[in-house]
Amino acid sequence: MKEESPCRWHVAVLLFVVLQMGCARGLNTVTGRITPAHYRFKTVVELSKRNKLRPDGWRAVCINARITEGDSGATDVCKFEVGLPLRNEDLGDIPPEVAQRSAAITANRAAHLVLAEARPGEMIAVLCLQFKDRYEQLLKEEIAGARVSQCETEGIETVYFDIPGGLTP
Amino acid sequence: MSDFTRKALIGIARRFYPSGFPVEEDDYSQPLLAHQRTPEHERWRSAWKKALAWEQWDQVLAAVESAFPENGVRDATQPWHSACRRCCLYVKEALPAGGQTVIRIVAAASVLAPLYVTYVTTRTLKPGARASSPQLTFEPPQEAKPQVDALTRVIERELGYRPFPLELAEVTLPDVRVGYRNSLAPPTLLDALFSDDLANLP
Repeated sequence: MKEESPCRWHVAVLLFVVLQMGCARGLNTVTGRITPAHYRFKTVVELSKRNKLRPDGWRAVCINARITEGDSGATDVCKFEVGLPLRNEDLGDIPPEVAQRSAAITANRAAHLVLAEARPGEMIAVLCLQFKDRYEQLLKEEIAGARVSQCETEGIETVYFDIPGGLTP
Repeated sequence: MSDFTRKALIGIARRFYPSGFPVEEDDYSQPLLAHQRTPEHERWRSAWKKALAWEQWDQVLAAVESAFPENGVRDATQPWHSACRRCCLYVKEALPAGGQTVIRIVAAASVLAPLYVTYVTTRTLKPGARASSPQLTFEPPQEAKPQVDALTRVIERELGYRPFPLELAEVTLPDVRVGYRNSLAPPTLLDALFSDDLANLP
């Protein structure tokens, strides 16, 4: 996408970099990717022993993603927890690598959708909420039963994302 | 059911969820968001800890399992991302043109009050197509009635819970912050005492 306006800012989230090319919605370019390896899920509820095949169990991870608004250099953090069943009706047992891949792919899509339409100066708190909402909608289509909300579960891993150095998209 | 009036239920919600913490003011630079540092949230967390160590819940699962051994019970709890423990039975019906309908019959027991809801979701899976979104109803279709009745009996017997008055489900709680919701709109009693997405099942 070509630069169309002097109204410009960058947002980086989850290793995403967004360069706003115009003031209208839907004109931002989003680059950068979160990878499956970032999703270091921990089992919160084990599969029950008497239940061999049915939906059950829970795994979760907390992600702290630093967001940097380009021109001002202001940074803030969006924190969210991703929770998934260990087994659901559609997929049966969900291996960790499948959970990680789905979680990463949908996070990229959700961040792209939300940040591509972000307005300059939009509050990080509201963007973070919109991201969590969009992310959950997408993730539960891939893994029924998935939730994305605030970090709350004790004893799970917190994974930090930061954008080192400059924010050139 | 006279105990669980509109006023009483709002009071229960306010005991576990603080007021006056709008999303717009969330400050993620702190270890916890401001609403997570309130006595109300501490009570909510204690309720979840108790609910996850809830022996009677295992008895609920065992009782449903023995009532429907051929179908089998599923635990559909989303710990810390809702306010209820859930169990469900699934009924699958083949469609004449291929594919199937999956009916989930669910009981959700609040972790905040001795109240439950039962409901049914229906989803259609057709070969080569994405599954339809689950349709939720609190009025069970005829084919799900035996399972709903059985879940109701088990929950009332094992937990001593009472039905949540569904006529109050949509009562809104202005200013109340329900942390697991990703919405700027005020939560309802159903959102606060059970979940904002009951149709989302594993």
